[in-house]
Amino acid sequence: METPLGIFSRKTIHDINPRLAFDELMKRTRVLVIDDQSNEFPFEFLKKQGYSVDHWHDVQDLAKLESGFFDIIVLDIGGVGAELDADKEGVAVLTHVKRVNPSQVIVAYSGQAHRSAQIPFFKLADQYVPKPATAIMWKETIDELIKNTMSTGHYWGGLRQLLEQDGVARVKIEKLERELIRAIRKKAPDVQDRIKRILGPTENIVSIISIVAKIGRIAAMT
Amino acid sequence: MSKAQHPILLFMPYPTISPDGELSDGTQMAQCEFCRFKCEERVCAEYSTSLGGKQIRYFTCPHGYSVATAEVGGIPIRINGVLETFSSTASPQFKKAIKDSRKLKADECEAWVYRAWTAIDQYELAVRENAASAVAALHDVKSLIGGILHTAEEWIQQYSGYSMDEQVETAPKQLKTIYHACRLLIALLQYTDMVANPDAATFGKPSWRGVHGVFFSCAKILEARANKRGIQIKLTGKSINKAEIRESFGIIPLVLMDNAIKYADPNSIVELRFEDQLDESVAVVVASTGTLVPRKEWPWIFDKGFRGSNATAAGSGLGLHIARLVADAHATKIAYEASDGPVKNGKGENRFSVVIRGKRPY
Repeated sequence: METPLGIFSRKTIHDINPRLAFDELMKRTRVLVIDDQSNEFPFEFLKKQGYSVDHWHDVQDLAKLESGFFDIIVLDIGGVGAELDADKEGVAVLTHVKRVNPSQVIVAYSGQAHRSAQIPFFKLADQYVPKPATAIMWKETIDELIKNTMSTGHYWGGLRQLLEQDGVARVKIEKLERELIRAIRKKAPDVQDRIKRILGPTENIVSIISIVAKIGRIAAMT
Repeated sequence: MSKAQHPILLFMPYPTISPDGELSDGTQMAQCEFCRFKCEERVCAEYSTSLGGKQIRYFTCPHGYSVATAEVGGIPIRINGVLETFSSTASPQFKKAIKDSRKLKADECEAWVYRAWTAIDQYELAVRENAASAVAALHDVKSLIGGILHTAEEWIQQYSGYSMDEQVETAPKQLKTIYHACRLLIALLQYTDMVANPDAATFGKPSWRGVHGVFFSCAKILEARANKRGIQIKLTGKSINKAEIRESFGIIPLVLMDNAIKYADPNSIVELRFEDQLDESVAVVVASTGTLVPRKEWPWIFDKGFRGSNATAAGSGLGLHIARLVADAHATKIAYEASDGPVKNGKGENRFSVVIRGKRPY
């Protein structure tokens, strides 16, 4: 935040947001739909509107989901993720990805809202869309998520929460923030070693690096 | 007991079950000779106990009147003549008097209420499970409707317009009908999910949306249905304020408008009146002309399974209950009232009002 006179001003992660028009941000947002059916999501409509949408019939690459490669994951509850857990299917995928990378934006897309046993699934997701849904509903949902989550501040908030949960000292978190700002300004892509040095040994280093990479990618969208 | 709580307890006609198992409507219950509806002493002592997270409240008065109240299956139950000695404010004479005269002990009363709670819970669980299996069978139907909807959307995109809403308006009538029929079916399927699992009303994160837009969109979906009865849906007033709502919120306009279309006189008008209030909340009134709901039935109009004695069309009595459930999930007030003016043949203006907290868009 900058002071009114600009004296003693200190940039925070929140100040480094992409200066992009929404249409451009929309094109650069990677949306992945994991649904065993092809006809239950308006792929063509969204692609024509300029969205970047991929479709997997099942979880093809779990590491890609964990790493934050996709900005928004639309996840069906039934018929996907049986390899991870044959009983829980989509629920297992959601729980796993959210545990490894809490900042990953996931939309629960399901026609099983009548099953009260699935309540935790819907509560854990960032948004819920009942199946089937209209193209307009999808456009509104995705636009809303882009506006709310495609910012460095959103991911830094998630990272900060993760670090605080891990018991990382506030001084170290602030140091990490300064280091990130420096790396973004200098367009230094590889900050992994510095992060590891600042934080020391930590359980969630893979998640932390994923989120840092995401912040870097969003900051680079100028 | 405080003065404020007292009249509600004594004057509400709660159903009453006496220790002998006799059921009365609450206004005819047997009371001791000193206790009258217009009790002026108001010196009752209050005590409450909790069982499995639910509460039983006891009230005792020095003249010997004692009562236990609890809510069973959403209905307030009052049990008279409970032997209740926990009150520290009751006089020793009173304690002795009730010990001699009362037969039903507090623990027996609690056991009875607890059994009733358990039975209701098990019943509701069974109803939900049955409903869930019935809804689960609709999976293929949902899938098919989704397929038809997206095909219709792809066709609609060929027509001119800056947004899909505009493209729908310029599309041929038949295509428009298919599209709106799919949307109506989807909304009804979402509604069945909520019957099976009321928690579905709270799914998803709320987002700021224009209330007018949500009602307008629903009016479009129901337009064809209204036209079949010669009914016109008219939107009056103005609202620009936004409210923080979930996807489930759409059930409220759907139920209210669908009911209005169903019960309104043929060839009449269903009017949606919008107004942004001073506190930035949005008030919407769904008004229609038809047979009025009798005043004595107003308190139960949103209860599960309630069917008005004057109902002129078939129904399950679930719609308004679900609408209230969704309203509760959005801290929204929903209410019914009938026209104050002269009533002819039991007909007049039925008004359902919805007031939701909002904010100005800028």
